[in-house]
Amino acid sequence: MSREEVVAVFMERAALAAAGAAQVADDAALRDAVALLVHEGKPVYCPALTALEQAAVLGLANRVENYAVADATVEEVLAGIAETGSIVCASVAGRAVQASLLPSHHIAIVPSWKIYATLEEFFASLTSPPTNVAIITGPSRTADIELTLAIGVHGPERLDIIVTP
Amino acid sequence: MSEEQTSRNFRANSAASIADSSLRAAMKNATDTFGTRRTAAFGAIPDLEALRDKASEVRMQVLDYLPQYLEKFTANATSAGAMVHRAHDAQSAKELIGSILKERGVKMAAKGKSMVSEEIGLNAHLEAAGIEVVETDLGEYIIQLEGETPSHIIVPAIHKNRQQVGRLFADRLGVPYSEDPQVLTKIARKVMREKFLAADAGISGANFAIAESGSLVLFTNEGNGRMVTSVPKLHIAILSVEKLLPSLADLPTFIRLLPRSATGQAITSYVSLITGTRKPGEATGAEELHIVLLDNGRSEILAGECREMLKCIRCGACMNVCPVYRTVGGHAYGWTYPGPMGMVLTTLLTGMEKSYPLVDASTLCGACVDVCPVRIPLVDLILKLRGRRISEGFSSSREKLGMRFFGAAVKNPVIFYWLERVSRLFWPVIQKLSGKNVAGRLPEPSSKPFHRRMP
Repeated sequence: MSREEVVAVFMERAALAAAGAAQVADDAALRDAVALLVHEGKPVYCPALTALEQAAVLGLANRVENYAVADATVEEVLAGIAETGSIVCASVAGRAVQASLLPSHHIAIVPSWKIYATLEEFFASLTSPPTNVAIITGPSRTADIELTLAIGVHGPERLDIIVTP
Repeated sequence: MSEEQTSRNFRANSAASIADSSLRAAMKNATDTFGTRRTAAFGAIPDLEALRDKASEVRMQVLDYLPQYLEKFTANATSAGAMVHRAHDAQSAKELIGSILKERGVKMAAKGKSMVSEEIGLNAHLEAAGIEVVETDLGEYIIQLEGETPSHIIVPAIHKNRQQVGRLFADRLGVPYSEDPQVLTKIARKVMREKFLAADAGISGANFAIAESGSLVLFTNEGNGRMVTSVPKLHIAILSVEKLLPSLADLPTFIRLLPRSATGQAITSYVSLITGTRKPGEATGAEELHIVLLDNGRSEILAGECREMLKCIRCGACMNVCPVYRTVGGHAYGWTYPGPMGMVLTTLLTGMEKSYPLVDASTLCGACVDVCPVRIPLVDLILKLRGRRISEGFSSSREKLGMRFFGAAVKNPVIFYWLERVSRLFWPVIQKLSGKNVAGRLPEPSSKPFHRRMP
């Protein structure tokens, strides 16, 4: 599979799992996409550890340091997996995996070169796993009442993925 | 949570379940839906049979070298910062977990779904020791509020309809009545969020443990599994010894099979890997992690003729297709594990004396074998256990007498011939006397029996 094909499969599978999936061409487009997704004035957490993260939240008015009180988290994630449309968050580089769990809206930024085609390829890259690794596919969900789908039990009720070049 | 085992009353339990029309409606709805979703999910997998072969081989490999894998897992989990404990039986596991929590002054623990904790009755033990345990899986939370036990290993409250859950929440939580699952879910989110942040400890199970990396693997949809394993400072995980996989490279196979078999999903919302404790420079992860590896009879099963039962990955597919489970529901089986996997495992773990009626709770149709992702020969195991039931003497005098007569009759053509004629002659009388018993529902004997039609 070419890089374009991997990204296409990733976006398609992510959407099947009820995640929002968009592709942007540059930092300006990333910033616009994030601004559109975040509700006006709501508290947003972003670790701003990478250039992409810094670009993404430039101009957001209400940023908070504590993800537990944030309405949304904006962050660059460790990896994407095309086969399942998943993103991967991990406790690397001082990152808190709960930032992708506690707020009701998770906005994940994944550069296209970080997307693995298959689960095998992803696990092969994980030679010595950090303490917490979470493979995330779509929003938090349950079917515990009459097998009827309900969204947003303990984790985010909304997951948006933005693929950058 | 686990109550007294009532597997010996399987017949009476079943009769009560069958009389409960709302239970039967809920079971039919749930198991039909599961069946449809499972079939659809596997439609997209090209080499399903090869995948099942692979999964079966990997599980068998683990069982064949279990002591070595356990040793490897223990060494790797320990070097990642975990404390690994071995518990021989339910009592020692409960005492161990109770004392870890007590010593650290834990008042409240948030708990993720764990069938092994149900097996050993962990909640009741901890509550008796003054520790509040809050179930955080929505289904488990519902049955905890109701004071019940799970009736399905994947969907614990499968036997309840939305009206029952709505009334339960209104009564216990003082919220306005609603029967909308989305509204009820939001209520649970709010109530439980406070519990998570206040909990001193998290207790979880694990779907797998990876020998090579010392990691625990949890498949969840709600996110509570991620909460209990990473939010509190202290995390205790309990799993049975056979849950090991050799390496992370084996996980893709099981990620492809387990959620599809269980709920018809291509993957669960979350697959979490927990490897030891928080390391320098990390912002999350428990500061203290205890992993309790429970034997509770597994070593004996491993040494016996039914060892393949330990390949089980607890997907629940066998129960969803089982005509007996679909009719009587999970509680009738009288212990933690219901359905085809449950009848075998319960008998093996608790012994024939406590569970012998279960081995007959099957039509031997083989639907369970068709769907098992790790190819457990459930029908063969059930037949072995039936043989064992007889050889261990768990049959009624009526059954023994009946079988002796039947044996004598079929061995002797003359007796067989006359029995046949007599039964046809007196058929109306036999029907009348039998009433609603099995004989009352049999078809009338043919005037020309099968063996006389053969040339």
